[in-house]
Amino acid sequence: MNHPSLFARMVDIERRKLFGRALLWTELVLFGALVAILHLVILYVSRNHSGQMPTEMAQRLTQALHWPQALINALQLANGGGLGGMLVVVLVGAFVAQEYRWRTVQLWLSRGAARPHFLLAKSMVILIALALIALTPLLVGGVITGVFTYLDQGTLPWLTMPWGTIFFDLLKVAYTLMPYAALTFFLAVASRSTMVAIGVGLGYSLLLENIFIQLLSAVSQGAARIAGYFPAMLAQSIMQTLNADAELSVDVGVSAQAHLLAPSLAALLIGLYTVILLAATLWIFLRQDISG
Amino acid sequence: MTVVLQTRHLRKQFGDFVAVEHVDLSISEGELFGFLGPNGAGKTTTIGMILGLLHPSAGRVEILGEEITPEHTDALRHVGALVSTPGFVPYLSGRENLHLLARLYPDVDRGRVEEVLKLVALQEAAARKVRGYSTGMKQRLGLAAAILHRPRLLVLDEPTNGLDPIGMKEIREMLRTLADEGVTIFLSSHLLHEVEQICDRVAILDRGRILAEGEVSHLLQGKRDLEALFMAVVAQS
Repeated sequence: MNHPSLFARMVDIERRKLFGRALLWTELVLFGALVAILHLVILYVSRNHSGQMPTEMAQRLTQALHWPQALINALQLANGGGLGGMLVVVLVGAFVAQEYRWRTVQLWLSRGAARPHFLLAKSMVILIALALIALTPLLVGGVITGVFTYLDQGTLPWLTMPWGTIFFDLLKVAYTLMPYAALTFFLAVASRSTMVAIGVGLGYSLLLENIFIQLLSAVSQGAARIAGYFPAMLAQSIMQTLNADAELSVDVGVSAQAHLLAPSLAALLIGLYTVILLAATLWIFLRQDISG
Repeated sequence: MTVVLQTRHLRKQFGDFVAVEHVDLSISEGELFGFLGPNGAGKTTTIGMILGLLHPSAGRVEILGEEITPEHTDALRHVGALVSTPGFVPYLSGRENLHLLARLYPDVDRGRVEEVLKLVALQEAAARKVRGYSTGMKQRLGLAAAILHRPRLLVLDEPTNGLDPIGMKEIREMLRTLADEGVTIFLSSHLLHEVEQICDRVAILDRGRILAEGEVSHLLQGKRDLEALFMAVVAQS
């Protein structure tokens, strides 16, 4: 009888551990609720106050609430430099560091699970979590704006929807979350502490990164170029490719003066940061003494 | 007889502190081996190296002839372990934790999970989340997890921690039965009377070094019991 390889079974174990966590579903529900509130507020404004707006702005707002534009706008709420990054830091910090506190790292490793496999299995399952975080605003925003579109137009443009583009955009948004996941993974393994992993991860993504970007942008044009290499700015570079008319996009307070890199270079750098952080995590984990 | 566990010149140093020095052990199939020592003697550190959790500073560990290091852990698939207070996923039930572990072993099915839960008398509490378990219940679940995949070597660090006298007796009988079935057992314990009752051989460790090793009956010659022997050996060191 053929059995799945040990690694495949470890991935399945990690998947069960992740899906069994209340934290994952709580995050997704809260995120979904936030997305719903945001859309409903914008719908309310669009319905009741559009008369007080310039015509062009009112038209753009209405268009932004109709499919397919609305789906692309909703997706952007999960980008790495914004709310999505925060959710990833909390989830990955808990998912990795708590294994040390619960002593379950010992449980798996003392049963012959190879350390690189353990980390790789966790990384693969974290990718699923990133996809779920990116998918949440798409689904919630999609349902709300879908109802709005139907009420407004009497039909939904199912057949003319750019489903392939939307799916590809979903992958792009999930991709922008990767450096934040890798940074938190690194912090969790290096510190073995949930508090440190989440605290430092959030401190970086919410505070430090924005401060650095703002400062660099304020100093000079040359310094502003450096700001373009931070993960939040790289995420912005990729978000630009989704759609330039993103009315609902959540900006992280990044100065407009900062230079955005070309999307292909930004994608390359995001991948590079992720690989470097994961390699550093593996290097530390292989040398760690996992004691009682 | 097949040597199941062997350590050669095993040493572990943390900074300037030498926790384990020149530990040489050889344990054969079906043996029930007692590993004794006062607190801080280096027992858990030795077990950590046997299980590939700690990097030895020098020396080597072999299980069934295969070297074990944190990088080479294949042979650990034949090992069941219970180290101090066992760790489990707290938001899952005892049964779910065992099902999760069973995923590592293709030959372990749901029936086996129920079998080991019954063996450690944890069937009634198996549906409860582990975060609500007492120390004794976690210990029982740890034992269930250790024997789940019918290992050839059991490494147990204080397995009766938190158990009441009846529970301790049940575990003692279970270990003896397993040894009779050919399972090799490496038992670290503070409970000298317990070790004397069930072990074939013992080693006494203090300050990282083995001070005495041999068959219980042989070591006890001229001594009242294992406790007297232990006190004399540790006092001499």
